[in-house]
Amino acid sequence: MDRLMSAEAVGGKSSGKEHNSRRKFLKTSGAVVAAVAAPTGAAAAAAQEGQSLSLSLDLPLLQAFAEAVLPAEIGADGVRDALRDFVTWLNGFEPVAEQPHPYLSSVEVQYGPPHPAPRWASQLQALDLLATKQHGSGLADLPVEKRRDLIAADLERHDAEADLPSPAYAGHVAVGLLARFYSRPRTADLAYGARINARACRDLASGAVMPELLATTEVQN
Amino acid sequence: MPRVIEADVAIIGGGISSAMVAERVAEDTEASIAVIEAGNRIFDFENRFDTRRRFLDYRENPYQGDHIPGHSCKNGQSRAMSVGGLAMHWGGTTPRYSPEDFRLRSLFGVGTDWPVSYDDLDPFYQEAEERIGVAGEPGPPEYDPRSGGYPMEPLPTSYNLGLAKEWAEKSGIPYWRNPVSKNSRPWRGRRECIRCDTCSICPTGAKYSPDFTFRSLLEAGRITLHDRTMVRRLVPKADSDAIGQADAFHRDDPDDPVTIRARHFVLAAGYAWSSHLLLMSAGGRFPDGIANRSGTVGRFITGHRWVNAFVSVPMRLYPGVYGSDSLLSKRFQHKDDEAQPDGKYIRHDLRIWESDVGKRARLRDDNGNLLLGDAALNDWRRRIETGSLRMRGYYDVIPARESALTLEPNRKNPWGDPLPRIDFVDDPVSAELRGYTERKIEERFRRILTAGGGAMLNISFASDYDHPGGGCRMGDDPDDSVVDGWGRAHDHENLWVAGAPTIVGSGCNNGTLTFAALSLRTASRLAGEL
Repeated sequence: MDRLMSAEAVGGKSSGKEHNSRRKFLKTSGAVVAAVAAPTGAAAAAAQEGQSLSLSLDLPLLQAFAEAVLPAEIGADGVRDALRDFVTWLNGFEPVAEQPHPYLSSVEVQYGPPHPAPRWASQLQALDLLATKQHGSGLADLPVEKRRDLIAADLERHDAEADLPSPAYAGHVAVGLLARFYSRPRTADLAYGARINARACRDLASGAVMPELLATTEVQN
Repeated sequence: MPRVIEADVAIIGGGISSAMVAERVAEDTEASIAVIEAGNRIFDFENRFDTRRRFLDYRENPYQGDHIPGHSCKNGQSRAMSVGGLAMHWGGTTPRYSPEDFRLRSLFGVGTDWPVSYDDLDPFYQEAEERIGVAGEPGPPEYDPRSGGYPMEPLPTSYNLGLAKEWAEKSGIPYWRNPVSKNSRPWRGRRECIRCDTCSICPTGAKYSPDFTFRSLLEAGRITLHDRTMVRRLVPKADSDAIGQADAFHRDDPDDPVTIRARHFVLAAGYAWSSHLLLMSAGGRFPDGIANRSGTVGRFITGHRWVNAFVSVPMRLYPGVYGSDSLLSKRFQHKDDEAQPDGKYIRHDLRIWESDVGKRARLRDDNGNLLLGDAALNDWRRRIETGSLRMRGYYDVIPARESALTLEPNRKNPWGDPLPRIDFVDDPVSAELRGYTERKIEERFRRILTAGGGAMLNISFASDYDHPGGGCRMGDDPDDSVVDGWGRAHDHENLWVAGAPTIVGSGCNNGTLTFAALSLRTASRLAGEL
């Protein structure tokens, strides 16, 4: 499967019929994430041996998960946008990629981590199972507050640290999602209430003035 | 049959010093020039928007394959080794050294005077600034003298840095813009900067890197470039001390030797690999290595240490637009009672950048509580009501003779050659003053904080040297130096060393512009002999 297929096209503009657009979004992005997380290597071998090892990120589950960890103020559109970005990022991830050299260090060239999707997929699955066992229904069917409590307890078990790492190094799927979300320039703009547009190339003069402040409605949306 | 490379000038190494020598000699003479580089040729300018994007999203090395596996210097040397060298990655910061740096013994009674003065080097500084394209604003002439203007006007001061300058100068310490090799207007075929803020991977070519020079020289047919070609040994002639050839191999075919013959050899392989090659060439009439009758090859490895602090400041900043831009003060590099209030040898620069340290989104609050949902965003908003800045001072360290690069016989590269290690050792004067110097710089940080307002978030002190150089230091005395003031080896009339290895001290500022200026000075003398 084409790992880069259609990630840009995931999701659509929000409409008044949120339920429909949400289903459409989930259906589309589910295919993409499944493509990302197709079992490879040892996982594929395990699957061939008949073990029930599913490495696909479950998109409806991821959506329910994201609603609990991302800020509510970004709304349904914001959650969709964040998930689209997360999926695109996962699609483009290259496992064990060559990393920049540390300055003035003789250490042998470093390579990045393996693909995080299988690990994160199994964590999501485990959370869903836990929700069923503790509350009698899957994560997606729980109220947001209960989902958040479950996720928080899981993060405590993982000793999640205060500093958000580079997303690929996140040990927990919640940390990965949040690390990606909070590293986005548009999230920084939301926090600062200003159009900083970090990382964007721009003409010289515009970098010399204070960033344009966002209107309250833009901040909320 | 061994492959043979013949040229009037063979330049060993393919970094910025090599580029400067090659370009100047190519312009001044008709000489044939061969550039020999052990690393790969990564001429991928066309891909840099994409590599930049992947660097930002995934932290991937934007210059894949710019190293030689198993070939490293222990301590004090980055792994990057390719055509363009470390100046592919550099931030493009280009301050000059100060006049005082060249006269420490005369002015302060410590260290060693260089055989060249700041005034000797000034025209070559100017030439280097023209060639690589430097944008800057002159500092106060008493602290930052120069005979001519910068080639380009400074890049506009970023909003954050403008506020930082007002804040810092409440202390009475003058700050000005640190010059950079980034185009504030189109320069020598490269476009103006558009503040992508990823200067280690500049996608537009507004930041200088040596690949531009090499590509230009190749297109003009003025050099031959032999990448992946590793020189193992310089061999003197049988009937004189002149260098007759360099023995090398191509990394694709290491069993097939390559012989390099030239009228002049220029060693432009940086402070680590230049000394390494000279030591590796020991044998016959030169049992301690080439150019090493003084025993100083690999010695006096120099650099400066830093004191670094992140501070919270009482103003709202918007980081993320141009974080590599910095303010500079050379106020404490000068010789006067304020800079050295106790009569002790202390000299350092001061720098300020915007920062987001202490102001990033986080997963736990100060009490360790998890921040999920709106809590994380609200926590972030509360903490960015004030800004943060990074302050740093590089202080001069005088190296001991024992501050040295040596060969480790038991650590070898994939081709069986011993690899180098560097051990930084302070001269007793600097060793004794280290704690005093660090405290003094911290006091000066706190003076700025007291005047402008704010709080120290954290402070740290370097353990090793930054911006290293030396190993083939220049001097008038052949018993105590490797090359003369022009970079010519005392022991071999046709061997030259360019740039970083030749410096006597590292002063208090980034070194690359000085390395480039010294290389041009070497090239000017070499060209006169061709």
